[in-house]
Amino acid sequence: MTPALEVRDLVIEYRHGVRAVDGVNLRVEPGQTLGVVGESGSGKSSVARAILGLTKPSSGVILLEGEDLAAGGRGAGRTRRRVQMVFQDPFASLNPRLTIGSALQEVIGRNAPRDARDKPGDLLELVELPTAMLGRYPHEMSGGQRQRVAIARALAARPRVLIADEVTSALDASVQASILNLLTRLQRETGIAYLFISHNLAVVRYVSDHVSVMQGGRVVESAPRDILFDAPRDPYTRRLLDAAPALPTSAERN
Amino acid sequence: MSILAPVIRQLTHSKRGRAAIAAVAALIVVAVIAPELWGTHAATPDYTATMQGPSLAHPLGTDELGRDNLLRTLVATRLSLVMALSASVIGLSAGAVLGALVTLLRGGARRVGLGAIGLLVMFPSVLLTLFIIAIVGSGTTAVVIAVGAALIPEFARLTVTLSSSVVERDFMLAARTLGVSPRALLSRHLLPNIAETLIVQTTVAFSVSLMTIAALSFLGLGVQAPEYDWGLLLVRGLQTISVTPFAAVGPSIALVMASLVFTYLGEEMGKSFNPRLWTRSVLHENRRARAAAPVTTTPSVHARAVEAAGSDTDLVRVSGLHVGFPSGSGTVHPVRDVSFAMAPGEAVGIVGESGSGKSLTALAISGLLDDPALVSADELRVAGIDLRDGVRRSDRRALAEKVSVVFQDPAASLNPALRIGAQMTEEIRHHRTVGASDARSRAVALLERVGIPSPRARLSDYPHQLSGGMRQRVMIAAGLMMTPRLLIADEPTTALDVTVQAQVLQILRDLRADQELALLFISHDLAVVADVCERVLVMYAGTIVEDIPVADIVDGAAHPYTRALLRALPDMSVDRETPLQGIPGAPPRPDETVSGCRYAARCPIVQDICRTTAPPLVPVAGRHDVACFFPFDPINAPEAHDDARA
Amino acid sequence: MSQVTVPGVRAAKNWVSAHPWLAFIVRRAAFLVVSVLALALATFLMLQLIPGDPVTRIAGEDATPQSIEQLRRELGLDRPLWEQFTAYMGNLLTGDLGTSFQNGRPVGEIIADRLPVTATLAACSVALVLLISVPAGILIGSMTRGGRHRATESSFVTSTGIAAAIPDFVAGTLLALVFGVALRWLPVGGVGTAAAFVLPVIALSIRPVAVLSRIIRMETLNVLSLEYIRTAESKRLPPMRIYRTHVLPNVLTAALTVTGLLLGGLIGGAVTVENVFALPGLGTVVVQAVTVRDYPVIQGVMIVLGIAVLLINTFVDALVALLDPRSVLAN
Repeated sequence: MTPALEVRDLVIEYRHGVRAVDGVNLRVEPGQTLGVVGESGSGKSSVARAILGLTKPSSGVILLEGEDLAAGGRGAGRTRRRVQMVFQDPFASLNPRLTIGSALQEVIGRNAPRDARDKPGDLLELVELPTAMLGRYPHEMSGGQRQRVAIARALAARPRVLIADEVTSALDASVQASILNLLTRLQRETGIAYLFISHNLAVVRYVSDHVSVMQGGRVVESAPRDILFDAPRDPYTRRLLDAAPALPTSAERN
Repeated sequence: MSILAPVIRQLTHSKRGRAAIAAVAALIVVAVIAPELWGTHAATPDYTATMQGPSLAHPLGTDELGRDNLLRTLVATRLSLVMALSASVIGLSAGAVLGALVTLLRGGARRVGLGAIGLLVMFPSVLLTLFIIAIVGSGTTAVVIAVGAALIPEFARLTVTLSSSVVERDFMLAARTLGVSPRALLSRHLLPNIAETLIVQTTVAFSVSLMTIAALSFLGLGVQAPEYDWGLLLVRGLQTISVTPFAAVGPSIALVMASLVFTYLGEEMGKSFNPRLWTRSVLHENRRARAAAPVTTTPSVHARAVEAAGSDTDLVRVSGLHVGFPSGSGTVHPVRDVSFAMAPGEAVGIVGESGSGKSLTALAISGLLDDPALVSADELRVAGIDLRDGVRRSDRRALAEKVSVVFQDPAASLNPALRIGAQMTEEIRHHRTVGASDARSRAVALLERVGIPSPRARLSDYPHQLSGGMRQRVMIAAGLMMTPRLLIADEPTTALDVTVQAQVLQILRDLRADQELALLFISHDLAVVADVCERVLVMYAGTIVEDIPVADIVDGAAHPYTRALLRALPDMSVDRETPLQGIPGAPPRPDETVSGCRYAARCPIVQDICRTTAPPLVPVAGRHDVACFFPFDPINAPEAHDDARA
Repeated sequence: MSQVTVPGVRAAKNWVSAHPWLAFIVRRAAFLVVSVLALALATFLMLQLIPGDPVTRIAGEDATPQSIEQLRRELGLDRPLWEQFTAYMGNLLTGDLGTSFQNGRPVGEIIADRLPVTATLAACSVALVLLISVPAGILIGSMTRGGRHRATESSFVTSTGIAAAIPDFVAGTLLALVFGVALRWLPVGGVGTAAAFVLPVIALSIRPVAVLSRIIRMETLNVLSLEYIRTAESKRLPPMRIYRTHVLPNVLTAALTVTGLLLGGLIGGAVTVENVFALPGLGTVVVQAVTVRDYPVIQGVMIVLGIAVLLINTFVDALVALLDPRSVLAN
């Protein structure tokens, strides 16, 4: 089956010969979630920017449903739009001067609405926000609400792949849970694939089908989630798992 | 345009905004009308009335040709304003275009552009103006061109700085990814977010232009007779000042006033561009209603509990702690009625989400809350020192000896301009009479203790030369210099990578094993707190809802909020297939008065009493302290709980 | 796209990391040299950029065609551009700034005569501005921290606002009128005694004091809210010590940067103030030169003042780097 997103031998080199990404391979299956775990300097955010086309890779191939994203041509822009991102900081990712409705409408464009994703009000409902919020400005909303708006805005572009870059790192635990549930539900309903980037192992463990661990610009281990967490092979992966804090174990938790 | 609408609305709604607009409008009216009404009259000589002082007919006297000074000042408004405005517009448009072009350049060309702009900005604008006048000559047009051109470098530099910073912001990146057209990117995303500063800068440029043009006329290089602006009137007035002092008064006041009016307008416009000030009548009403209800503080039931349980040997005794801040509509209380005690050597964690008041509680216990915070408590005793009225001079040394604080962001908590050695040793050298080399030896020993390689070399480093994890270890080592009995750590590992966090937590554990060091560890992360503490205080909306041993958290958490928090956490040790449960709603804001339990609005098992009476923090069935009328009881009723409301 | 790292470039970058201070000096020196060259080029182009025929403008309205041509030859304007430029640069390097159109005196001599007056005026003003603004700004900043003393804050903001709106030549004339003419306490015009500088220095300093005090106050408030101040407070150091060790250096850094710019403005203000008080400095001579189009004098003064501004800014940058080595070391 063609993967929804595939990255092959990606290299991103900055000035002075510094390689932020040094030959990375990633694979996201359609309708599934690939969790990418790494600490600072692992290059995971650089990979995301390259996939979105915000940074030009030094070498490597990025394929979206089999199509090369680097290829130019007439449909290139449209192809690029099929991968979208939700950013970490909900306060910075929305233009403070646009109402939520304007922000959504801008993405939808002027074509006649085909379905719910072409109507701002319905988009908000999709992310469990009341339509009354269409007239609000970002500064009038909480972090969790803004993150939902960011998700709605990304969905308006009808992506096949959504990159979630530390989307819950700036949110409280109780809000984080709702957002993760929302993402899971949306994946079930729309079949969208996620590239879920996070430094938080517990979250990655919860949401992912497959996991890739990055360190120093390279992928040190890639495996289905259960295998990676139960039987990690790479020493860095093991160190990472050992370091992750956990509540005192107990058989049942209710 | 929908982007500008709220700005204009905000400007016209505020009193000051309206005043500013009115003042500018008045100026413009004078500029338009005066020459029509009095232009000819003000230019006609009257040889019978030359060089007169102030009188009823001529409030500011007459000039050497008998013309009324007041009228001439009023008539000169048009030329002065038009010249200053034209110069400002030239500066703004050419400067912004130039700045935008340089922003779009890449690599070497960009550096040359930036260098050139930087160079021009350095050059005094008066000299730049004279330079251009030397080229284009003098007179009205020349002056406008010269002054306008001299404004270009500053506008260009400002545009470059603003554009560069806005272009990298997340919402711009998002817009690009979403396929927003370049035209919309420019007009709806880039420009509105740099316009604010540019417009304010334009009003500043306007004032500067007014003055520079007047100065040039003063020097004879500006407006030439028979035209006249305020500058020319001023120079004539100053020449005859010993005979008719009042001739200079009109133009002087006009210049200063016009300058002030536009500066004021600029300030108000700047404020109205800030989205956070765009008030909505609905929001406004709610705020007022909430403020009307008086903030009642519940009786210190917690205090009694603490008194009963604690003892005089407690290291920390807090009873009925309130922290308030004055705000527009009264006082807000982010921390309400917090009571607990710590024994020597104990490790206690405070866990809470944002707005729970945990950091403020820690700061209050550290004695670091100053104006405008209002700290009040029945008891606030740390290492035997009473902190209810702040830190007294006589207590400073004792407090330094016994309590140390480690903060969240080691990059910001260390002075970037001082070397590590200086920052580590300043406390001990001040409070005890320790010599420099002894202090440094101690610092080296402690740096080694926290696992920093080549500690002696590190003393001469600056903070930015170390990694985040190293900096935090330095902070801990610095905190240990005085051998404190209590270490208060406010989110010490939140900014660190997971593996580094594990190392820092291990250091804290090792330190506590070596010496009797009590630890008050604040965090939003329950798992991290559980890793290093024996006991946890769970805070919600400013108050402690549960005081529970770490070992009992997972199975024996009694408060509905703690239980809900546990259900929301994707913990490493928990069965993966259990769905997470978020907590719907949001905590009450610090200024909100809630009668009864502050969690009642979101609690799945809320009863009527919960909404009217605040539950005290009391021990439950001989186990731990909970502030709830219906705490979870694992022994007697393990199933009946956490269900949806009846 | 692949990037090729030239070995030489890498070696250079390694050297830079190993010798940060030396690299800093080299960088600033290079910038200085380039800037002076650019300045020389700009003043050279002054003549060339004049719309129309510069010679005709200079010669005046009643000049005959022969005298115009003779003037053109004298000025060297009949030669090709490149030749003119090299001649100009050559002259500059040997210190020859040309001769004044008006009286034939060497420009260098004129400038040397008048530079001391302008330098004294600017230097005294800078000292006065710093002596008043820095303590005042820090004092008001620490007083109004956290919203205390609102009344003091308002009056401070209002008074500095008004003071900043008064043009220096207006202030100068008023001072001259009150203290010089009416009260006869201080001399007006001429030079020779220190007293002659008192009024001009005050007039020149009013606006910068107002502006700088505000900036220092803002910067003090800013620094006081930074987290390392809280760390210092947690060490229970006395407030005086915290101000001395932690607040002052960082406020000074910002103040120095602004002072560099302010100095540039002061030199500009000196031009007008000199004219108000008829002081025989560079300001009066350059204005007069612009009025009669005495280009060699204009060029000479621009170059000298321009170099002065560049040197001052370089010096300020060096001071700032010494106080806060981050910018130097973090490369």
